[in-house]
Amino acid sequence: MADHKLKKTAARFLLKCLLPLAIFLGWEIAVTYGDIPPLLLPKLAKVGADFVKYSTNGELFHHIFISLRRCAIGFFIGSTLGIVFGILLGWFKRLEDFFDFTLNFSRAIPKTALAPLLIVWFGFGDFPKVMLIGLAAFFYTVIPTLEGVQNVDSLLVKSARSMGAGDRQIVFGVILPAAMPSIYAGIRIAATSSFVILLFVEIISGNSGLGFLLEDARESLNTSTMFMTLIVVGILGFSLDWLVRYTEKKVMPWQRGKTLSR
Amino acid sequence: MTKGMFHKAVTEDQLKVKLCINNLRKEYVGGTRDTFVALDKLSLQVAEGEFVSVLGPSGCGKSTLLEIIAGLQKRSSGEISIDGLPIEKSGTKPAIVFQHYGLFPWLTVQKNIEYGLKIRGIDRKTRNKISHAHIEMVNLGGFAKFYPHELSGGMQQRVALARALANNPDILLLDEPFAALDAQTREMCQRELLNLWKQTGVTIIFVTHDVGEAIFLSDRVIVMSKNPGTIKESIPIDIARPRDFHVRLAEGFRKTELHVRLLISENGAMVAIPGKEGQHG
Ligand SMILES: Nc1ncnc2c1ncn2[C@@H]1O[C@H](COP(=O)(O)OP(=O)(O)OP(=O)(O)O)[C@@H](O)[C@H]1O
Ligand SMILES: [Mg+2]
Repeated sequence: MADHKLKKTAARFLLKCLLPLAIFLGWEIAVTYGDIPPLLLPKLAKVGADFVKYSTNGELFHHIFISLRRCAIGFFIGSTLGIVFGILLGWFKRLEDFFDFTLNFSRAIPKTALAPLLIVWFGFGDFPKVMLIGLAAFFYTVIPTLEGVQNVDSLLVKSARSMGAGDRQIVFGVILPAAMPSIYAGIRIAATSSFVILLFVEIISGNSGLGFLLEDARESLNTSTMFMTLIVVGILGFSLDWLVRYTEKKVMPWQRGKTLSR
Repeated sequence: MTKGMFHKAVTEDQLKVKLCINNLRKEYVGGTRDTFVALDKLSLQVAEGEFVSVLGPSGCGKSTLLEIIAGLQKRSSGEISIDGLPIEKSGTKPAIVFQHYGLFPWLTVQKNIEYGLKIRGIDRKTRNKISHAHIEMVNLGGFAKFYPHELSGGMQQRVALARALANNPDILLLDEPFAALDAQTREMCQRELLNLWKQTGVTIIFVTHDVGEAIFLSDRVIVMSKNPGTIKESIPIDIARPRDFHVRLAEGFRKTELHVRLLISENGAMVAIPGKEGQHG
């Protein structure tokens, strides 16, 4: 029985690997037999060699570390503020009215459009980058949180109140978990866009980080390094998404096994 | 017909008013209908330990009434007191079982039942003991670790009942608590409720659409009318306790049942009923 299941899992894994392997194979065939200048598409071996080179001299991990740090700080501060703010706005109607126009106007500006201004104000250091990511994370979480809080079933609040819960216990014990699916939808978008914005600002104004590595490779016409960095970025983005979905399951165990489809 | 009288308290010659509602009015403002009077001129007294059922057509304000008593909705005017104290000042908190359960989807059956105890700062061991006893009581042994969405409607309803009872309330407000149960479970729950009522002496206000159930369980049946919701009639039920299922077949029971049924239907009051209404043999 277990053996059968194992076989099935293995078969599915192989199926999932098929397309990526085919792409690499096609790539290798194209650069070996096709007449493609290495500047456009380097040999796979060259990309691998670059990976080894950048790994052993520590440069790759240096840039990864810097990028991840910026992304993490911006994301955590931004989304925490977004969630806190969203809950407050959802709880206090007056506060929501007060911030209504401001919030909806600033939300409508794509955060990347603020990059030039932040560079003028704060230069090329870490601060404007982290701030831009923070702003994006804030706006991506504040609205779903607000809506999640407003859509909490009032019956649940009544339930808690009838058993003697006070406002604080209702906010943390009822509103927060009840709005959690919506909050998490915001967190997921915030995480992905944090990463997008990180690379964007590093490309336009970096002297370190993965985005800088890409831009630097472009300037020195080093396509293989560019591909190496892209693959690393892909892996990081993939892991980030996995991490968010993993914590989502941990934070909301009651959602497990709940389906809408048949 | 005697209105607002406590036959039980009178016979015991020791009348203690648990809950007193005087001239209650409730308007819903700012909804789809600009202002809607859900309850008006509603007065009701319930004696300590009394079992009162409330019947009435859909939308007559039964749920609204319970939520106001539970302190979950503001009233527009009128006074409500528990043990002689206005509800705002009274330390007694009625427990309520909602028509739509209101279970917390993120808590297991056990944690749901323990919620009120936790709020009151009761230690974990005592909480566990109480919740387990109540899980057994509503026949949900083995489901302690389930989440509400993994249970059937009737099971959820029993969890809601157990959750209210776990708080050991003075006053228990039940909004159609057995509506989603099958006949057997319903009878079992009715019996359990009566046992519990006898043991604890809790005062119960029980909303239902089932006329037979109301008469079978109660000391008094209250019939409400609609638009605006108010009390139409209060009918004492003088059947000796303990009651078993035979009483449902008795002449007096069936007469009362018919009378109540006619009262509830719109033109019920206009239908003459032969003989003395609300009397039981
Ligand atoms: N939040 C609200 N806003 C506006 N009107 C409301 C609100 N809640 C209830 N009502 C109205 O008040 C009236 C009484 O509602 P309530 O739920 O108390 O009825 P009910 O007697 O419990 O009915 P049912 O037997 O169907 O449960 C209804 O006409 C309903 O439309
Ligand atoms: Mg109702």
